[in-house]
Amino acid sequence: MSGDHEIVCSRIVFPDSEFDAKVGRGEIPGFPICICAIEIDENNNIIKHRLRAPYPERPPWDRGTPYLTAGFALGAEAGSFMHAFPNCPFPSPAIDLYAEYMVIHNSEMVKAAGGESKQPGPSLIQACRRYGVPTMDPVYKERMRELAYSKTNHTQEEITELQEYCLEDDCASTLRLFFAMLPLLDLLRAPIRGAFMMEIERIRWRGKPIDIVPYQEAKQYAPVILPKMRQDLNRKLGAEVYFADVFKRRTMLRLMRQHNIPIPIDPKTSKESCAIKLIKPMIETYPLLKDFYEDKRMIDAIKNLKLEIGSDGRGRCWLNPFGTKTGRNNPSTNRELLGLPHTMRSFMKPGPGMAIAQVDIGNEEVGIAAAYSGDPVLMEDYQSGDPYKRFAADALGVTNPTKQQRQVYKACVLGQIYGVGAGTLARNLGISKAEARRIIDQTNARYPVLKAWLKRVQIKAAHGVPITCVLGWSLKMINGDPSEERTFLNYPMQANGAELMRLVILRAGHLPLIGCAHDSFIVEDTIERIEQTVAEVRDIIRQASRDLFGFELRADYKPETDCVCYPDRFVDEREREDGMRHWNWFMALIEEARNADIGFSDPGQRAASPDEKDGSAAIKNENAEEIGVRGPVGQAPASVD
Amino acid sequence: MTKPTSTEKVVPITVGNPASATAFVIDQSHMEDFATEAEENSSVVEVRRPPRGMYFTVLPEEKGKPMQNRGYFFQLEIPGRDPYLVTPEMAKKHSEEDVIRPILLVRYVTMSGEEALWSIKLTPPDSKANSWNTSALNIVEIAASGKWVRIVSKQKNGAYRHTISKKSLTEEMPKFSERSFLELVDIAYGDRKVLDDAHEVWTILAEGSTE
Repeated sequence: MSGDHEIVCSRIVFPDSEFDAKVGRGEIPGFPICICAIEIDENNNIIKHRLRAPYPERPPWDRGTPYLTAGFALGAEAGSFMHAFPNCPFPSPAIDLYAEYMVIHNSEMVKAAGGESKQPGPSLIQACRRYGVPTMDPVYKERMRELAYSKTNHTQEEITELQEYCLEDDCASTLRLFFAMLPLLDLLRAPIRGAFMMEIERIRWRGKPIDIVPYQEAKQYAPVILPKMRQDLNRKLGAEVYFADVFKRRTMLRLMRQHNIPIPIDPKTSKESCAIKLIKPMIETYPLLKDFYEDKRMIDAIKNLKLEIGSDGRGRCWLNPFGTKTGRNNPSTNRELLGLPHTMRSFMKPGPGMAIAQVDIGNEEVGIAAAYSGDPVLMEDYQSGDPYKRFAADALGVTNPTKQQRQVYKACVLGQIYGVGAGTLARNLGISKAEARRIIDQTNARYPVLKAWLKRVQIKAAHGVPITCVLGWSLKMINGDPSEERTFLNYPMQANGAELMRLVILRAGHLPLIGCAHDSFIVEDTIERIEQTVAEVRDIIRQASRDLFGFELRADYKPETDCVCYPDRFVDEREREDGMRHWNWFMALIEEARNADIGFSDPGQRAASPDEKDGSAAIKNENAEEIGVRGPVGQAPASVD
Repeated sequence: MTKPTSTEKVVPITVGNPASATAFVIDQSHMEDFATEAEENSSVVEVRRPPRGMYFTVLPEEKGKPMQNRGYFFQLEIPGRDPYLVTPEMAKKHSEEDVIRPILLVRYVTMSGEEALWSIKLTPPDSKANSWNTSALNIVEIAASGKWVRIVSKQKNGAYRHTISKKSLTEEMPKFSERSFLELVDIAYGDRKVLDDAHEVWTILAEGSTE
């Protein structure tokens, strides 16, 4: 390996800082009260650094020679560095012991959570205990946190006390944990994750601009509009799936039977279920389920809206990196805007002079499957731009397959990657099992190399050895039950997709990224610069995929639909295709509630629900201005670069 | 202050340069580490016509080496029951039974690696040829000449049609199992092989049921 690829660090620095994290408030974390570090210098001597405001231009340990930074949850320190040393880049190379813990103990954490999900990441104290490393008293830590969080005008004595705690407890614990974990650390790849952990904090700092007025009104009027949404859903379905505002599962199941809609069986309980995640693959086949799925998700989300929005009108939520077993981020679904149903993401709106754009990795799972299986037909289909359409066209002998035909072959290709059998495919597509089997046979005949590769991956997983991804993320089979087997079919695509996401974020640190969700990246820039920024993000995605997979994945972006400029609001692609009817319905209900609140209600006018396509009450324009919602939107991001 | 783990010098320490992520890519061919150790064998062998949606191929029979990839048998069919395989001696002895007829069993494998047997009914000497069976035999010969073929559809004239894949056998190697043809036949028919007069099938034919 060339010398450029490795860095010989003559020193190791273990930094920590004390500040008000402003947890759950959507604010940029507070200015650091103190930043401390333990340094092991070239001669193996220990140097203790105690800093407080005013901070020097650069940290005293940054003396020109390469040094390794090692911390626990380095995002916090990245924030303190952005405050205290705004002109310095993030330290590099850096190892984040939190990230490394998540990598090393992934399988163990999944097992502890029962196999389906994953335990939450550890605190520093928990990680130290796991490694038998002496650490601080949690009560003392809590007292120090309280001291840091409770005020801004600390006395000199209090700052000194916080410095001592920061240095002798946090830094020292981190140092001890580092040496305990050292034999298990992948020193070549850990700095990639360390850099990612700091960059993802930069994304959080930037935040997403939220259109505050409609958001606050949605929260304020939720108790009024929720019963109406439930009534509307009952009316659409022709059954009281909500009775006295309580969802009645049995009524929904009965309704599905009445409409001859096959009912999924929950693999965990082996019982019939109408759970949202089981219904989702069926919504394109059964319009009734689509209504149910979209509306119920909105009802559930509105009931529990908790976006973390700062006083500057920007949403900032912890993205919970490495929070899933595949290594993807796992932010809260009600605190993070991109965790909301896609029908409600239009709360995001650029401020004056600004634009927001979304770049998607096109058909990411299929692309990665093509790259690793080496299936020449799948690679060719992927490169055509729409693998499902091409497959449908060939299979059916038509030039231009319909959307529905494409959907069938899409479900089948993805189904193969997700381990979906003929029974489930038949249920999802509303076709006979024989027909589903025939289409699966067609898929296997078209992509025999893919099928053989998936089988080989399953064979390895079945040996109970870790399946390690391209930059080191790994997972091993725990109990071998069918759902876990399916996990491993899909795991190489999901987990390598997560590795790609991390590399893209790492390389796009200089660009104004404000969010990432699964396989899409969201940037915010001035209207003049947005196209250039998008072009750079797309180049980074393509290059990163070539670097990791030896195969270029698409970075999809259509200026006419994937970019919004002030005063328009962000619209998810699916909601746009749906004519924004859910958002407009939602806004109309808010308006109705507001008017009633101030005494202008007109009982003759009811907000039209999304299925009433030309209902006059529906808002015609996607902008809230049409319904009189005007107000400050999120300010342009504070510069954190 | 606790010193590091020991008095050993802990620096310098060499770590990866995050700007060189490409250099640290782990080759994903390791995912297939165990694949060669685990050839998958089905404990059942289906006797069915190759699926219409999938290409399949068969191996040619070498001269002087019968029963390597195909073989002539007699099949006894009773409605509602899986077919029985009857030895030539037994077939001759019970030639009065019109439910016994000659068949050609052919081992085939689909492009996705599913191995099975195709039972093609043969025309008895005193009967008229059936175009379904004739076309099936023709397709077997085409496949045996080193082609991936697929049964496309039935025609009004009562014969199978077929297409030939552009992929050659060298591009897409057929994955026949290590099992011999006769092993496959044994697995496929199990205790439905009729070797002598003691087999229950004769009672079923005579009395309708053994129970």
